Amino acid sequence: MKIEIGVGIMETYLPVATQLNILFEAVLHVEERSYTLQEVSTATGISVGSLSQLRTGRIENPQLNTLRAICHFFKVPLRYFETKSEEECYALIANQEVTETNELNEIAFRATNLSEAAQQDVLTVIKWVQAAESQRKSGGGLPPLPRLEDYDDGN
Amino acid sequence: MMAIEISQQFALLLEYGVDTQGKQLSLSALAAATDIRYQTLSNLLSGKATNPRLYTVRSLCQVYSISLDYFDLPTEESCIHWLKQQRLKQAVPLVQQIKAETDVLSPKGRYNVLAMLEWLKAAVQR
Repeated sequence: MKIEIGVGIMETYLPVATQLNILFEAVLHVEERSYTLQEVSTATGISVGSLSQLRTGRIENPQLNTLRAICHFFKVPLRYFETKSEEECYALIANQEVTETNELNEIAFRATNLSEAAQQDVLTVIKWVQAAESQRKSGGGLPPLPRLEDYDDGN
Repeated sequence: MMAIEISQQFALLLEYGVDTQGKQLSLSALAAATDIRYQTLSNLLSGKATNPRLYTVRSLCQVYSISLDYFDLPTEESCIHWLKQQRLKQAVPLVQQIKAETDVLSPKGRYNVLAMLEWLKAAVQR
């Protein structure tokens, strides 16, 4: 499936100019006004001219470092430039979207590299460990070892 | 911890990232799938190009089903973690079940499962 990077598929995203203008409008200086181009330029290292061209849409396809600097300044995640609607922009600005950064489930991750039969065996092992845990709590011994599809040699 | 270079981030993406079919992509496959020029991708990987354009990184993110946030991660460790999490999200139902069951195991339980998995791996290699 080809994903064309011409104007085509990029039309599903909001134009960078729109995304940037929303940032200027919605993320305010402590003095409760918009930041000036000069202020953003000084803080990000992006020239006033470039910022201006980004806002008018003259530059449609900026470089990554420019976008990173803008996001860091306006305190939005980089995925802000993947938004497809104004609602999404405002949601990110208001910090309403939460990304999960939980611990990696190492066992499940390793399982992604196994065959289906092996994955079934992993589940069998887990159930055995669960049974062992609860039996030990209730004072019993260990449950019998499981029969495993992939590795059982009949012993 | 060292900040990560874009060439490294791209290398990690090639190594850990999978397309919607669960397959790794070579540079040429990536070029074919995205219409990004092979030379562009090669320059990115070699470090010759250090500041790709938005459309290029968006296309990469689309192919690998990851968010643009990936390109703002600070370290190699966070990139690897991110890509592994992404792989898990795309995993088959059986793996999702494994994840759900192990999420509720005690740390000791998880340790025991890992130990048994090592045993299984050794048994296969015999």
